[in-house]
Amino acid sequence: MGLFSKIKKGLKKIKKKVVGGIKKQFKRLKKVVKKVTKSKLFKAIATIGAIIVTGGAAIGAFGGSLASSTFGSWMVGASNTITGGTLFGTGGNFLAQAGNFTTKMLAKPFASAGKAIGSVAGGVSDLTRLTTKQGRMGYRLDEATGKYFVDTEKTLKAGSLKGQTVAELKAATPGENIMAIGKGVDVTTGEVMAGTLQSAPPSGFSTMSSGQEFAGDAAKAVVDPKSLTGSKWGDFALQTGASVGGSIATGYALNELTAGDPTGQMAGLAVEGREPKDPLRIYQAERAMSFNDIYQNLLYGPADPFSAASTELYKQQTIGMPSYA
Amino acid sequence: MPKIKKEIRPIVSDNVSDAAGQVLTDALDSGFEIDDIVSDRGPKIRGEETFSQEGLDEIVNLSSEGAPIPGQSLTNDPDQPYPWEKPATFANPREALNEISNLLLQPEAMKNIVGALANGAAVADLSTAVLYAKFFEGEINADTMLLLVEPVMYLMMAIGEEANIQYNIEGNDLDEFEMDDDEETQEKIDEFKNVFSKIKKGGSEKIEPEKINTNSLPQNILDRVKEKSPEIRGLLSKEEE
Repeated sequence: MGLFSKIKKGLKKIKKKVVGGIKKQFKRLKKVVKKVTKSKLFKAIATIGAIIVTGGAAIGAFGGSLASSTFGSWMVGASNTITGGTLFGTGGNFLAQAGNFTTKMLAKPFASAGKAIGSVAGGVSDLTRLTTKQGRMGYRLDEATGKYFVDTEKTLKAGSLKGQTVAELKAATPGENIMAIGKGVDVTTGEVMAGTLQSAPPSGFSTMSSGQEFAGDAAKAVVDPKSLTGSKWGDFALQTGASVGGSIATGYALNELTAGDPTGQMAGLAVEGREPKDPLRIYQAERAMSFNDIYQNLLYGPADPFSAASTELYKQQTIGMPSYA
Repeated sequence: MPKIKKEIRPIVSDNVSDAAGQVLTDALDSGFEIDDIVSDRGPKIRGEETFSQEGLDEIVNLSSEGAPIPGQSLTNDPDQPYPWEKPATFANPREALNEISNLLLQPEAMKNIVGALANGAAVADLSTAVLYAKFFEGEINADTMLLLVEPVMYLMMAIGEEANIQYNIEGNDLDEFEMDDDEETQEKIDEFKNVFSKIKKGGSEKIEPEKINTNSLPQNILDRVKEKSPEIRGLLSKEEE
């Protein structure tokens, strides 16, 4: 078995084990935690799992009310405990001494992950049409004119922009627009951000009407946001699902990546095994042929290979060679 | 605001699922309600698979690109090894997870993940695809790839939950968690039987007016009960001879 076949098999096995572990944990908790809807319970497990994995950074990353909630604060405390190395084991416990990977990995999680991404997740809910960017940004659609107006109460403390349309703000020069006031809007919460923004738009971000562009400082850190995995297959697997859709496509791609070695399909449900080779082995054994010399024996065609090999046809000279007496 | 009864207790676990479970039970024991942890965001978007001819055509085109000839790798120049034959960029699994998490939590990546989940792709498939690609590019070695399957899956699940999507975890198991298993169904049947038998038992007993709490009902209603009590019997009680 080659390296890749082994890797694919290992990946498949681990995947099954992990999925089984998640489902088992869910079923265990379902029995312990009563009077909680299944979807909420599963969401809680997934969220807490992500918080543990990212060392608490996921709380900030997913934003919303979680970060400011009591549980969020409690979990931040838990995360700090994790970061401090006490929650997931110190040098004193057995697992840490045994060099358990997870213990080591979680004992010192990365505190930096997700710090710059707090404003990102809001876009996700836009994609699912649960919210709109305008709604999150505090823009209000005037049904009569079809124009978006700035809802100053939600987006800005200053009242100077009240009643201005987004188009007017976009048309304004730096110094006369939102940037000039020095306040930005958090795209996740729609609240005015603390601190002062740059007086001019950062390079590459010429407008201020877009929430994502305001969050450009975070986006700038991305080396190549268009390529998720950096490879054709990885991007394909994700983008296929996103653009052309269907698990048929993604499933095929994954099958290509993770499936085992192909085996010949025989009639019915039989799978090609060693048995079909047996007649050949018997044939060789009867004629005292060695497997090592297999290529010196003719084994193809309808004629008896042993006698065929002895015919003149297979003995004739194909390239003229000088003979020396 | 819930009153936190106790402090966080240390948790030692060798997998994320178990750790998450322990943290959750610990949080609930500490006085939190499930609503403090996760908020209800209405009905979820079902990530059902849909057939797409365009997608299938793309796959067919990709598959027609061909595969390497057996033994082809052995003909490579040893001085120019494949990326996975070189030492991995991230030798430390923690650093590798840090890198991958940062990548997955970027806006573009999140949109792709959410879109894929909404279109029926499974979390396990997406996670392994990303990790396999990282291995293929030589960023992580094979062992690290296997170790990161669970953390990356949890990250993607959390993204899916945040986007309010009901997604597949592996294959087409969209409704698996919503469906009752056999044990749960039996529990519900037993519970129903108990309640039913209680009703049956209670219904066969006559109402005794003298046992009624006189403080809980107005006098006029009590008088009416006394007046009508011989007639008030359970639905399933036997007819008196």
